[in-house]
Amino acid sequence: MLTITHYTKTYPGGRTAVDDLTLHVSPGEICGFIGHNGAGKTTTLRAVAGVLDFSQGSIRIGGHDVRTDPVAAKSITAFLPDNPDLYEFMSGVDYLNLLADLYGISSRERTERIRLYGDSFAMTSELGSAIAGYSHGMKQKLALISALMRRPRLLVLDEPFVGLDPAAAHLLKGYLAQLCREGGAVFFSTHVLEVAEKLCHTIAIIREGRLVRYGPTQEVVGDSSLEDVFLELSERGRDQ
Amino acid sequence: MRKLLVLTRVQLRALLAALHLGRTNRRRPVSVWLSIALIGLLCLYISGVYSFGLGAQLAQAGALELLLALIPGMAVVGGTMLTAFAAQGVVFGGRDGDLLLSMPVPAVTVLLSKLAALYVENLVISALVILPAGAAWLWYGGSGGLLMLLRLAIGTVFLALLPTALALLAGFLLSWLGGRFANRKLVNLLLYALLLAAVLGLSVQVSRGVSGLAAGTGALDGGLWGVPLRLFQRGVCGDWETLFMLGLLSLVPVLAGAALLSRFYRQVLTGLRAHGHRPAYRLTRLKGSGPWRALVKKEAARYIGTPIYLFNTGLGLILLAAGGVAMAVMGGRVRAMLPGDAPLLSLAAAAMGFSLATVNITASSISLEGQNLWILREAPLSPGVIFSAKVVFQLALTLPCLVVGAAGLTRGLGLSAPEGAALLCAGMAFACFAALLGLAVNLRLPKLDAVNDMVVVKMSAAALVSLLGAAAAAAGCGVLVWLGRRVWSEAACLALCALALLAGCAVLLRWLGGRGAARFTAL
Repeated sequence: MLTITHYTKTYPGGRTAVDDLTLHVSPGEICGFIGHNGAGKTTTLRAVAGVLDFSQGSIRIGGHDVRTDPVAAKSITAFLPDNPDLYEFMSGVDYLNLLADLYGISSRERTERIRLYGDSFAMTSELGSAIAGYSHGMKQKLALISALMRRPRLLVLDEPFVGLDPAAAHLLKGYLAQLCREGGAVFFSTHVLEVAEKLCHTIAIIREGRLVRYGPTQEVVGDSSLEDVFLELSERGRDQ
Repeated sequence: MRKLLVLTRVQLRALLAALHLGRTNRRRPVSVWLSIALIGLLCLYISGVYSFGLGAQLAQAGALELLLALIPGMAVVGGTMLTAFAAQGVVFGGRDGDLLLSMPVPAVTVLLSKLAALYVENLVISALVILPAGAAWLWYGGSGGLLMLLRLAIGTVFLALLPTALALLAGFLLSWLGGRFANRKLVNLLLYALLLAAVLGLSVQVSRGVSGLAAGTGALDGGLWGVPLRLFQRGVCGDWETLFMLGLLSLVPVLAGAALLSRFYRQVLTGLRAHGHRPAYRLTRLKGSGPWRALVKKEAARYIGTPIYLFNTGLGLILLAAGGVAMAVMGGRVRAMLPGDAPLLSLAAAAMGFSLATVNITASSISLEGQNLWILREAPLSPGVIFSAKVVFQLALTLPCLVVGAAGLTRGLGLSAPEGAALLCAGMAFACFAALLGLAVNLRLPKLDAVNDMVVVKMSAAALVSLLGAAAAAAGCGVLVWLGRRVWSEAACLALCALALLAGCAVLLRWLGGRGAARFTAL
């Protein structure tokens, strides 16, 4: 579903945020992307979503190249940035309607899906209010609803559990698993290592822009915990 | 006192950071300094033109001293208008409220530090407006010399406190009323429209008063509201005691307002942030539309929901349409005032062109996406679709006003049908050119990290360059008509201008489709 090949991102001024990253997320797979602050996770996720331009390497989603065929790649992808900035001059339902129009979702389908996810996340009654008045958690939920209602084949999430109450976090895990059962894939970053260890089929650990560990969760974790593996890699990196 | 100074410094740094100035920014973009300088020069120029024009009228009427009351009055009104929304955002809605109120700092200190930032804005506005009036005063024979300029500077420092106090009150009302109604953006819009109408009404009254003075038929009396302005005028003309009385009169409302508000500041902020009961939304069957229409609707929602964007870029349209209607009704009187051989069609085209040049909606449309740009970038849309929605939105607003304006001008000035058609065609070509130019300029000079919409709409390089570029295009057409009139008719010259503008549109469309799209992708 997602193939990243030798992806490198260097910002003007010479700072290399991500260096020669290669990984693959198959249909039906949830891949956890772990790393310290400033490791290059958000840069990678934004490039996959087609939000950040890049010139080295390639990223393909469902066979479509993100750089040369962006519209096709984006039509099967949904992206949720960390701390999503939404249109504050709109109400929640107006924002969802806008996204539904941009993705060509029919009136009947969008109403059903918004009702489904809105009721699940206990947001339906708030959808008529202006986004400017939403709390951080409510904005996060709205952004999740906007991503899930598109029924994407690839879901790209940057720290999706931040700001969610426990019930909403539990629901989200369920929806991610369901999406994978239906043939989709999820590529997400998180600092909550316990969730990553339980939820993800594969784990990719990035440090200072380079992939340092990647593979099935059981292989990466081994006999210890993901937290121990991560801390060990961080210490090794400091010593180097 | 130390805490007040520390917090005031933080607020001023925040103000400078909003304009990309200050130590936080290691590489200060030249374009920012340039745009600040250009805006300052533009303000000085406009104020200078108005001051000298008014000065000439008042000197003729033997009432030159009124210049030093009227212009400062405009500075007070203008400053209040420009900083009322800043007061709403900074004093009653700043994101640092939780942080500051949780610190061992008295609420009055927090409030005064925020007021200091407002005061600095008003001081800059007042200085830009009042200093040219001082120059005009000296030019038309007013007494005082350099000492007068010193008193003018001191008086400006004191007078800037008044719009600060008024903006504080207006900001509180905006925050309070906005929180009481479900449709906050409509309330903001209505309040802004009321403020604008009050300013326009006051300008008309002042204008009539001055005309009456010049004709020897009237007098100008500001009533109670004129007291600080009369004190300013007397103080600047030589009365030091009156000048310092002005200082006291200006300082007292600010300090009194701060002292009163600080006692309830915590409660006020909590009360303003607590949203009234939100009625539970009932989801019914939603209507869909295509992606392009959805984008245009989004542009409309942002435009209506952002008063400063609407009024700053829409005033030209209002004037165009209202002017057209006025001309249709009173055109005969206007024609009687003009010389017999006046180039009516060219004058009509010039008026229309300069009105349309101020309608630079697209010039801020990319910058206003700001931190929301990811939504458009992640959507399955080509840059061309996004661009076309922005341009078409501007044209959807412009063209109806243009038709009304052109029809009114044609009727009012007694232009022939071919002349009217040429006027309309040139206007439409100019409207298309201005919309495409604004978008191209904004892609070239984006400002995606502005702290608020006002910085983007009023102070960004893109807004300024687009305005000046469109005005230059209008001036260029004027030169073309002036030169071509010797050989062809005015209507033919205007038709040529329309063709030249359409050629400009073609060039801009090509750029937008190629390098413009690449620039958008790289944002």
